[in-house]
Amino acid sequence: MMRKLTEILTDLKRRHCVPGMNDFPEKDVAISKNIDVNLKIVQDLFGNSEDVILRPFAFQQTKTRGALVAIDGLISSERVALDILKPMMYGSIQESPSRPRTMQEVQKAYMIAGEVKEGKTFGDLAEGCLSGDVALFVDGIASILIINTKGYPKRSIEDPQTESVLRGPREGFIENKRTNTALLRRKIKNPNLMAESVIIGKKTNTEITIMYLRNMVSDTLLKEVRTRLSAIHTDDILDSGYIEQCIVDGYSPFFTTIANSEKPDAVAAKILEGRVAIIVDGSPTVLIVPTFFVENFHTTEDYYIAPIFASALRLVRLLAFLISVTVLPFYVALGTYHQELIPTELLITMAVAEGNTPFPAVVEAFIMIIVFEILKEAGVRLPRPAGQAVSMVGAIIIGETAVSAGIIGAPMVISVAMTAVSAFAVPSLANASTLMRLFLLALAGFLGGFGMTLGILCIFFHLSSLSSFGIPYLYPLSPFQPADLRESILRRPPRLFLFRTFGISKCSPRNQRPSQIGGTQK
Amino acid sequence: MIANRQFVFAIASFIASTTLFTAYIAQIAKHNSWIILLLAGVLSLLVILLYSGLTKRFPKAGLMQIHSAVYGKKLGLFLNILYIVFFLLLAFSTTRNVSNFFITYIMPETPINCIILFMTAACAFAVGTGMKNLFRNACFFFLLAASITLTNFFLLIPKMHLSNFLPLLQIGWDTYCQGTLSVASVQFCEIIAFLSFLPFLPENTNTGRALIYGLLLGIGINLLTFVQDIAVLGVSVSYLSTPSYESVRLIHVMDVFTRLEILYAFLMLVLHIFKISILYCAIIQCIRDAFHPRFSSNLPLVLSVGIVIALCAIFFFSTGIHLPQWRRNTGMYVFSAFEIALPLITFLIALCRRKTLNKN
Repeated sequence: MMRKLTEILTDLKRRHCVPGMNDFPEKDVAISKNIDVNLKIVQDLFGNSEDVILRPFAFQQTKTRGALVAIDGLISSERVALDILKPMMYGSIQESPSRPRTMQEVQKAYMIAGEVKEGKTFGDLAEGCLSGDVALFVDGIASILIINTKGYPKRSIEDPQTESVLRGPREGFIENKRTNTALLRRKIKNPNLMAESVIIGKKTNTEITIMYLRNMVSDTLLKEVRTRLSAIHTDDILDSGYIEQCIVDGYSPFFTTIANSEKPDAVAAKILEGRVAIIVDGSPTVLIVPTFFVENFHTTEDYYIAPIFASALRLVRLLAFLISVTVLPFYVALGTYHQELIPTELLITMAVAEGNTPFPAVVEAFIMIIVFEILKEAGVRLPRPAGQAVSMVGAIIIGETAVSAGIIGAPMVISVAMTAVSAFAVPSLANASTLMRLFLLALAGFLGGFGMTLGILCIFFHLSSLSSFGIPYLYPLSPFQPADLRESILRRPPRLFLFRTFGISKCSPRNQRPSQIGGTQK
Repeated sequence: MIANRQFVFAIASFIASTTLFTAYIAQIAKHNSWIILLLAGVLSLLVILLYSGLTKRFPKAGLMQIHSAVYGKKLGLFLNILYIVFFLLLAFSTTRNVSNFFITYIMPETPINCIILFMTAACAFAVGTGMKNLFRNACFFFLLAASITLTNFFLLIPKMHLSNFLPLLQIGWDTYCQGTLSVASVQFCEIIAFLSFLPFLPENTNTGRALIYGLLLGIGINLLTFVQDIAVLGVSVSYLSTPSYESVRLIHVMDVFTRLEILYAFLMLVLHIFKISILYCAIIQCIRDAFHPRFSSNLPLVLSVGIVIALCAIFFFSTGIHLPQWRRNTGMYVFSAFEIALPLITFLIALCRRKTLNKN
């Protein structure tokens, strides 16, 4: 029944699909020899867009008519003037050129610009111009030259705010795909580092690049990535988040089985382990596949500091995650159903604090979580000074007024605060931990510890059923691999760091020593 | 595919979950119940050899396929239906047993139906994630069972008295026989449910060895718990309905951890959910095998079986006392019939008729 429903929905979607950029009528029209006809079609193609540049000119020596088509703002005007127009209008790079008959001759005689390719249809023209290239028409030639003159504005490389580090590189990806690939190339100076591009999005024609180490990545994984990317049929891709939702394994309300990062060193480290990075033009967030649940507790900084501190910090993050998910439900379960478990002194304190409040503990907890989430959301979206003011007001209202007014008990405030702070220790799981907390809270409020145990078990089964590009997401906990589990929680000193992680790469993980990939980790 | 190791640990975890409900044997054999456990272990090993013989004769075949091959289509189908009902009985009686325990000890004011429904829902969810996923976690569940048992044992060492084992061999031979059959059928040979999963084991798996290893690990955990309970509680073990829970109650670590039995109860709940999920999975697999190819979709089958388990657990054995009594008096013979007698008959018939499955 579900299959039929999905088919009906897909059919409906197909019927109501708005034609995308690849569906314009001139797409397959071949370039004519007559330049006037071509320019007329270009005008029809782009309409009256004020940012479309149509620059007719004549070659100096042969007086042949030509024209350039480009989009203002996407090209480097300086390069167009110096590398393209100047040779054609003021003198060839060859001594006595004849009237060009093919685009190869034009290229040979006039082109200084490096990356040049020939196009035959207006589809090629649209694709090139919209990517920041210039299209060159020459009268009498039934093809165009698409010359790379990309020069759109871009942000400078900065320290990413979402992944701040105390030690390690401060550079982050930006919205420009080519800069991002270059940042990775700078980290991995290895000819085996491959980059493949695909264009996805009928309307946005977004360029997606996958990067991997040819001698490390497993063929199955690479094939799977290519298959999933090519199976995406969507109108628009505006961020890597779109791609993430399209290629993720199955459906999980809590967890995403695709990692992401804004830091080149983090992505480079994953590529070195045999994973695939997916870079989306226009997004500073790079996707990494496959990934494991335990990796949410890792940071790149772990490899830059002493192993013992790194291991301790990983355990702290794990503890923080457990606290953020379980402390509030546990408090509600204890206070509502299992008071006998609480030491007498604490029980008296809790009874005094909670005795005067009008709501049961579970309702209090829900109110507090909702208020906290509202404050968090408001604080994130508002400009920084206003955000701080909102946080301050929230803290005073929740911390002081709600308790003194007798609406919420003080221990509840402590539990919620502890939960909230802990959630930020593992940012990649912050959203998941909120949902899990609410789920467990509902069960703890309804059935106490029994409900909580069932809830945790269900989350565990759900987690273990997930996979990231065919590899179990909960590995090495499920299937249980003690050696890899130890490796994933504790960080060994580099001299003992002999193996790459978890059987992702082509080579057997047990035999794969750093020297095999060029000694990147000595 | 289920890995060999996962299969072994799943059997061990399945048996380990039974350590919470050992009162029925302690009531018969009192402080000699550990001897009965050992005898039952020996008997179970013999039964496993019988299962092993069957699986050697019918490689890559599950219980249902073996029945169809030995008894023919109609009688085979009848036997298969009987086994489906038997597995259903195991699943809902375990559900009811655990629910009874929780409303007796942990949540006396909660309606039992609520506990049953939520437990069945959790099992349905686990089964819904797939049999492969269930077995993939077997190692984790075994580690949980082993760590619970070992921790309790070591924490209770100061409260153990070896004199509690005396006098030895006080009970009569008839009691030994009854107890041995009872423990073997109610606690150990329930692993007959695992014969439904044999087609999912790798080609080169030695099924008999896997069953034996799983059984031995399970017996080890059971034995440790029995010894601990007798050493701590002495003769009073026979008056208590859950001896292991009562012995964990006595643990006091530096006046901080004084109520570890609640934690123990919740951890045992986890193991029981695993056990019920395995039985649940076996039911679904048997229905699929017996009525192939009518049940191709997973979700409706999982939900239907879950509803049946929940309803049976609610309406059968309506009082807390009824179930242990039934297990001790009648259940033992029913279990023995399905776990020992019928497989023996099947094996003998197969031996006589030299019947084997067509490899094609």
